[in-house]
Parts: sequence; C-alpha cells; structure tokens
Amino acid sequence: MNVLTFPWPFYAGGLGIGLVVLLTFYLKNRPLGASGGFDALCALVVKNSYMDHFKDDWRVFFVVGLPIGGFISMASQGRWPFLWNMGYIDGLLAPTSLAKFALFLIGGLFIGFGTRFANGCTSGHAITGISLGGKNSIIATVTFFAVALVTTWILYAVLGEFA
Amino acid sequence: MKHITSLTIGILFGIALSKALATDYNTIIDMFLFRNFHLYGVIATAIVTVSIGVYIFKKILLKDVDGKLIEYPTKPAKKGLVIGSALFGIGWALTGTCPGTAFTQLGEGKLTALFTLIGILIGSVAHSYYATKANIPVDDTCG
Repeated sequence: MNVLTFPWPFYAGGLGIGLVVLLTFYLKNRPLGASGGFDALCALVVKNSYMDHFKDDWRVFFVVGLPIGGFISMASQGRWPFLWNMGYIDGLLAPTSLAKFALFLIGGLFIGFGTRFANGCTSGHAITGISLGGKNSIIATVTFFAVALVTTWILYAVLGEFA
Repeated sequence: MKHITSLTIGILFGIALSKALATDYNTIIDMFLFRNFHLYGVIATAIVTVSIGVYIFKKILLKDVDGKLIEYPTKPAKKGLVIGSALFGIGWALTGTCPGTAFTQLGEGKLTALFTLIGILIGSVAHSYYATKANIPVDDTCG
C-alpha cells in the first residue's frame, strides 16, 4: 500500500483520521469536530448572540480545506468523477430528479439542526468525544447511530428494495 | 500562519475521510444495512488511535505549538443531546453523509452534496436563532 492507493484499508483510514485529530490537539489545542465548522461559516454572515461565540473560529479555514482534501484524494487516483450520482439512491430516484435533491436538502436540514442542537457529530462526538471518555458523547453516538440504522432500513424498505 | 495550519488540518482530514471511504454513499448505507463492515473498522481504529495518542500526550504533559499545556475537554450534558442526535441520525441516513464528509464530497466532484450542504447551512442558521431565542448556553467544545 502507498498513499496513492484508493481506498485505504480500514486500519489505514482509521489511523489517518485519528492522527489528524491528534495533530489538531497539538496545533490548535482543540478537540476536532466538523459540525461546529458550519457555525463558524454561518457566523461570517449571521449575527445573533449564539453566532457571536463563533467569530474568528479556526474552523472557517478547516472546512475550506475539506473539499480540497477530497479533490486531492480523487486526483491521486487519476480521476475526478464530477457527477450527480451518489450510489444506490440513483437506482430508486433519478440522479437529477427533484425528489432526490429534495431528499438530500431535507436530510441536510436534519443534519444541520440536529448536530448543532446535540453539540457534535460523527467526528466531534463519535471519534474525538468517545476517545476522551466523554459520557455524553457515548449517549449521542448510540442515539444517532441507532436512529440512522432504523431510518436506513425504513427508507430502503419504503423505496421498495434493498438496493 | 494560524490560518495555514487550520487549512492544512482540513485538507488532511478531507484526504483521510475520502481514502477511508467515509465519503462514499454506498459504503455508509451498507454499514447501516450490515452488508459492509469496513467503516466500523475505520471508526474503531480512529478511536483507538486517538485514545492511545491522548494517553501518551497526557503522560508526557505535551504542550501545544504555542507552548501551552494541551486540554482535553469532554462535552457537557445538554438539553438537545438526545433529540439533536436523533435528528442528525435521520439526516445521516437520508443523505449518507455527516457534516465533515459533505464538504469533502463536494471536492470529490459529487455534485449532489451541494444540496446536502445547503440543507446543513440552513439547519445551522435555524438552530442559531432557536438557541438565541431559547437562551441555550453555548458550549465551546462543540464540534
């Protein structure tokens, strides 16, 4: 295996993600979490007393880096898909249909409101939070994982097939 | 310099998420349908890596790049913890993505992520007004 391999085996992927979390402790003295980055971005334009806490947040540049990382990952394997297809869902809803876009937009609303209300997501709660032994992060992770599991089963049952 | 390190962390995290297949819709759905255990291995390895790293950091009293002792705050109990997590769970299943991977997907050229991102941004803004109105205390460990 070399760094250009895609995908990495699970242990290399987990190690890579873990090392970035550790690097963040060293460089930023902060626990890494991605969903707070959305607050940091929104705080650039939205003014209210909640958003005031996210002014000059380091995660503005952090979230700008994420798509660059995604691009580098694809470029390293010599292809850049640039397409509307996501996977199984395109076999059930046309790739550029209004229904599919609405599904992702509504899903996004749930993610945005939910992660901010819960104060964390897969990175902040499940990886960083659990690693630090945070009891509330364990509660959050069990909850969002269980609900996502049930929702996926219902969604694919309702849409008529298990892809 | 501060911004360059922030950007670098983002780039490295994006590469790792992408290479780990955490940004792949089908891999996420297969994880929930128990058809592919790859991502369980990724998450478990990440947790073990951070746990061991933090254990060592604490032992050697590692200081951050500015010479300050590193802190490891855990997230406090919060009113929205369970309800918010449940809402996130629904969104995670509908889109096959979480906040960090949604941004990464866009860079990968997965255009549908644009709709996910718009949704997340609107959801975050809606939450900020709700949190302001309901006077929910802001915790600094959010992520």
